Amino acid sequence: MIRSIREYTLPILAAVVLHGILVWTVVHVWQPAKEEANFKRPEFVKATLVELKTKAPEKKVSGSKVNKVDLTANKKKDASAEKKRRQKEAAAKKAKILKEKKTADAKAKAAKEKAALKKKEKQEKAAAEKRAKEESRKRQQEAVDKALREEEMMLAEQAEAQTVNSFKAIIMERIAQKWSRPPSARKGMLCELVIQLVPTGKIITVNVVKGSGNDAFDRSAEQAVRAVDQIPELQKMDIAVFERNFRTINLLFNPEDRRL
Amino acid sequence: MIFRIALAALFVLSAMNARASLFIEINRGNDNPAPIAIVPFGQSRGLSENIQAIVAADLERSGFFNPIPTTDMLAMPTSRNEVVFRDWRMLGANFLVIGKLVTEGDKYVLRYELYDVLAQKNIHTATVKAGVNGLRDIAHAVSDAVYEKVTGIRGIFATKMLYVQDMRKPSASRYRLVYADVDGARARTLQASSEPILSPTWASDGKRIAYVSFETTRPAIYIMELATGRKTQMTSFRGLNGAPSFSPDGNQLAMVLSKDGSPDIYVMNIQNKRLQRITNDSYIDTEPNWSVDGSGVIFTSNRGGSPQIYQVNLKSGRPERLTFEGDYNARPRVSPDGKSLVMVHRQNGVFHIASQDIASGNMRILTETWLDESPSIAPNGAMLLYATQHNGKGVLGAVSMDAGVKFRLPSSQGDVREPAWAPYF
Repeated sequence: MIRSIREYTLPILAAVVLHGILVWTVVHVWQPAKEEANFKRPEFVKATLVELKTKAPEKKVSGSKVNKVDLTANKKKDASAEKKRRQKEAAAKKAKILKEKKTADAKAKAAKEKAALKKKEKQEKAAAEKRAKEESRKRQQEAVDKALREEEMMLAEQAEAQTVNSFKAIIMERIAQKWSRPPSARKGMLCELVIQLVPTGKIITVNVVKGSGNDAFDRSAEQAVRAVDQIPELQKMDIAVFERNFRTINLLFNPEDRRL
Repeated sequence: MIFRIALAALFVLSAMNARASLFIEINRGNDNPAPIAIVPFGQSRGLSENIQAIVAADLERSGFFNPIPTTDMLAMPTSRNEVVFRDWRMLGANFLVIGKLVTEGDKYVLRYELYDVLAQKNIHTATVKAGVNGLRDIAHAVSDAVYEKVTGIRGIFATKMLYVQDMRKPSASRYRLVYADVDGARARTLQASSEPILSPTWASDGKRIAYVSFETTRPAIYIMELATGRKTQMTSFRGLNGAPSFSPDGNQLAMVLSKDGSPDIYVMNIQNKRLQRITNDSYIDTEPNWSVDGSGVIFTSNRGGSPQIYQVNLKSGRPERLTFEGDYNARPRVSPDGKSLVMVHRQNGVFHIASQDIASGNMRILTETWLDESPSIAPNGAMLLYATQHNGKGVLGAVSMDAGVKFRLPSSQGDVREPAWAPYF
């Protein structure tokens, strides 16, 4: 009994191994192939994607793998295996057709892509040209803008200088009106004061920077400024212009109009 | 080295920066009289003189002040803590004078203060002291101090003058030599005569005067010492003895004598009465006046066909003509600074007082009245007195040297002429 069992050991082992291989192939190899076929369709729809181009060779690899499994399946004369094989063949055929179609599509797509690329390149080239053109135009525009800005600034500066001058004239006039020189004043005497104003036009400090040596003359200059007290016109001035020019003013008293 | 250059660059930059602030030149003004408030002084009521009114009148007559009437004043402060500067500013006052009078035995003492109203600053504080008869002296001392502080020129209110008065009625005292304050007050007769008195003049020390009197029926030059009233007859030559003028050092007397023919200029040594003849010609040379440094004499001469003013150097004896404007320039007086002349100038048949800058020859007519004569410059050079006619009477007028102010002194009886402004004593 044991001997007879020993006699059949090798064939049984072979059968078990074969079955094991078959079961393994059925479980581990066939199912993914089916699934793959099923998964391809939806992926195919998105053919226009540029990324697909790189996925196409992968499919080829999976196809050859199917063929390989096919060969091992042929060795087994199992009905279900046969059926599966046929199914597989059909699937392979289908896959082949799909593959062909896909390659065609890929070709078309490649062509299309090539065309698209060309077009894109062309477009890009055009765009670049356009961009370059635009850039030069922009640069020109910027230069013009800059010039305009500079001119505006210059004009603003000129306007400010004009404003400053007109207010200078007002201040000069106001102080001259109040400046009553003592009889000891003589041509050539000079007295320099520094005064500080606030935006209301009020003169808040008066100081002699450089006197003439004649106290009465220096006092007359100081009194002229103090008698003016406020230049209300300065309130109308832009505060920035005021700050830049009128916060501190140096006044030079020079009695040029005196006879002596 | 690099450090130094950098420092220099920094310095220049900072200097430029400092210069960057707005610079305005005020190159004209108006020279209006300064508005001033002279507050009645404390405890000065009921006195024989109104000190406040005298100060106000002095300052107003100078032409450089415009006193604010006391009736406009809102308060009468007599010390600093009573002063509200805002009120005085509102009244338009640039200056304020306050003070208080106290008695010390039989003397009056005035302590007064001068303020710059606009700067709210004290400019001057002082005390003046005088006897019962010196209230006017106190007032003039205040006027002088205020005037000097504000104008920068020494005041002349406390100075004196001489003039000749003609009562126009024959009497033993028809002609009078009068000594008075420059405002005409406190007149005192130094000499009275039934015969004319002419050409009073001062020695530069203010202690002696010289004049021409006809009291001996012949014109003669006298010198009088003011303190004692003692007089000395200096000349009694035949013909003209006139127009005395003390040299700046007070040792010599220039005069006009016609003892040798036509009137000529002579200089007499006062000590020994020795004469030096300065001009010697057939023309009329008269009205000598010394140059400021005493090196020469300025006089009137008709040697050029019409009366003009000449200057002769006493060492070289060479005369030089000074006036060329018009056909009549006479009676020259040199200003205290020696830079200008005043004279009688005829224009369109009318006699005016004119001043001329010696260096440039520019002439300015100072008066507008008729028959103006005998100009006499104040010792500060800012004003002059002259004789003129008003309502058919001889009166004294005053004019500032820039012709800005003119006023007449209060007229007294008869004609007043030939004023002589005293030097500073």
